[in-house]
Amino acid sequence: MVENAPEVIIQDLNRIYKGSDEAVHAVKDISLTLTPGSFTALVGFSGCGKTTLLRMLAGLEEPSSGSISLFPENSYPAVIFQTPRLLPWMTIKKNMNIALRHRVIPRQNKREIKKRVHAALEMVGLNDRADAYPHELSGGMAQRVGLARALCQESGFMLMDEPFSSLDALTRENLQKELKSIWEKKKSTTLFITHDIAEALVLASRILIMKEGSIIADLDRNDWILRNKPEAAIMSLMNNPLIPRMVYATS
Amino acid sequence: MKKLKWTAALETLAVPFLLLALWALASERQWVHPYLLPSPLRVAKAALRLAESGALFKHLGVSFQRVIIGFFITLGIAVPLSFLIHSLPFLKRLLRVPLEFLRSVPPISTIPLLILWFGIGEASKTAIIVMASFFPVFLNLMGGLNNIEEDWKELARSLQLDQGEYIRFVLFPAAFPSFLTGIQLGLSYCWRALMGAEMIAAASGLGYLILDSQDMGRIDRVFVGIFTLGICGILLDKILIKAFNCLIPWKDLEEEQNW
Repeated sequence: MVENAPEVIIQDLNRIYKGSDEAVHAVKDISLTLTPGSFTALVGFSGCGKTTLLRMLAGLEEPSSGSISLFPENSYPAVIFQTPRLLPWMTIKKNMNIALRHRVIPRQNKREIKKRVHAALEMVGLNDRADAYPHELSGGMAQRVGLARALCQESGFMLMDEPFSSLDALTRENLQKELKSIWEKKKSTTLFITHDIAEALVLASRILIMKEGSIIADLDRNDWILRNKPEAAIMSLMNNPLIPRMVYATS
Repeated sequence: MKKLKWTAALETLAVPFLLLALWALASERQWVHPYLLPSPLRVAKAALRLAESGALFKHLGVSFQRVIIGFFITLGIAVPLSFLIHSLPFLKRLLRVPLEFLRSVPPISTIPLLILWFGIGEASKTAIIVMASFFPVFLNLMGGLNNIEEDWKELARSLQLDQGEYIRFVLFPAAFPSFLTGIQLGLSYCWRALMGAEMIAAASGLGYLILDSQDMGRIDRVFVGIFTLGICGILLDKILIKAFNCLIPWKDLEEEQNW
């Protein structure tokens, strides 16, 4: 486990969007803990509040109520978005450099920045494309750079919002393997959002199922319920109207 | 591929050549009075003589210098103002009506007033150029700044960039293509307004050359002035687009502006 992988504690988190007609309760009373160095997948149908939860963890949105605490407190998340969000006017190297402006102290430590960028690009196999522009990369390569940009921040806390959803099946599978092997080495606390149950099963040791703004099941990869036909089991939990709010604890 | 390129070039030049041939035929057969429509050959000879005497380049140089000076003043006002209005919403509310009023006034219509205020020297012509080029630069840059993608704003926040870094690394580069389009439009507006100003109050410049030639009954020279303007406009546009494409390799302005 990396030294700085934080523990993340979420308590009674709510997010309410006030519309002109009615308020939308996107995230409802979520409390959970991500243990240091754990890989957690959050699955659920579109619109269930997964991304809102991640955006609050990333500091991109303010919760309506509740709290998010990181221990150690000086931890910060590195975010990988659904699309790589590489700035098109910068080379890959520069895209990664700006990610380190507030991560490497002192900021002028160019050698340290160069070392980290080099190491992260090497990890995703793109060291030879450091001087390319984003439009010169394929979708898979660009998403790899997004991964490298998060890795080079060495935050110990990774937030991933369906990072592979727009890629073709083969590229997605390759990137899943790469991510898995990188996580094995780094052991950073990771929350991975996906609507692909198979992807969640491949990557995560803990699977949270979200429905209508609430976590309705909190499963360990080794739980008995996931031993036989795990995909069907998760799907039936996601579809089951009988457990709309109940936390399904199996451990 | 090469063959296709040749075909495209021929297609592009076909209409200009056809018009030239029609012009030659019209003046040869005297469909129009030779005073009103001199032959292409006579115009070419007049151009050659003006070029040899240096008069053409002198007038072109004077007009060009006016455009450059006026345009730099425009940049000096429009760029900081765009950033200020973008970051201070109250300034937008404060300046909206005066700016909209100025935008609705054609610069040429202010010439009598400008001559009264600044005389017929360079100041009145510079003022015309600034008025003509300000809005294309200002509005395009404002559009670029206001339409920045939400994704990039979020990225900047997730990387904890401060305000200065956000402007330097994200906001300005994102608005840069729109800014360049503003420069391109602004320059072409400059030329148009300057010609009007030079025809009314000037003793040099291409506008003056055209009007003076008309007064002297030298319609061939009027044509030379007009062709110089048109050719310079096309060349300037091509040079700008090439230069801009080097500055923004992620976006092809030439491709975007093809119609």
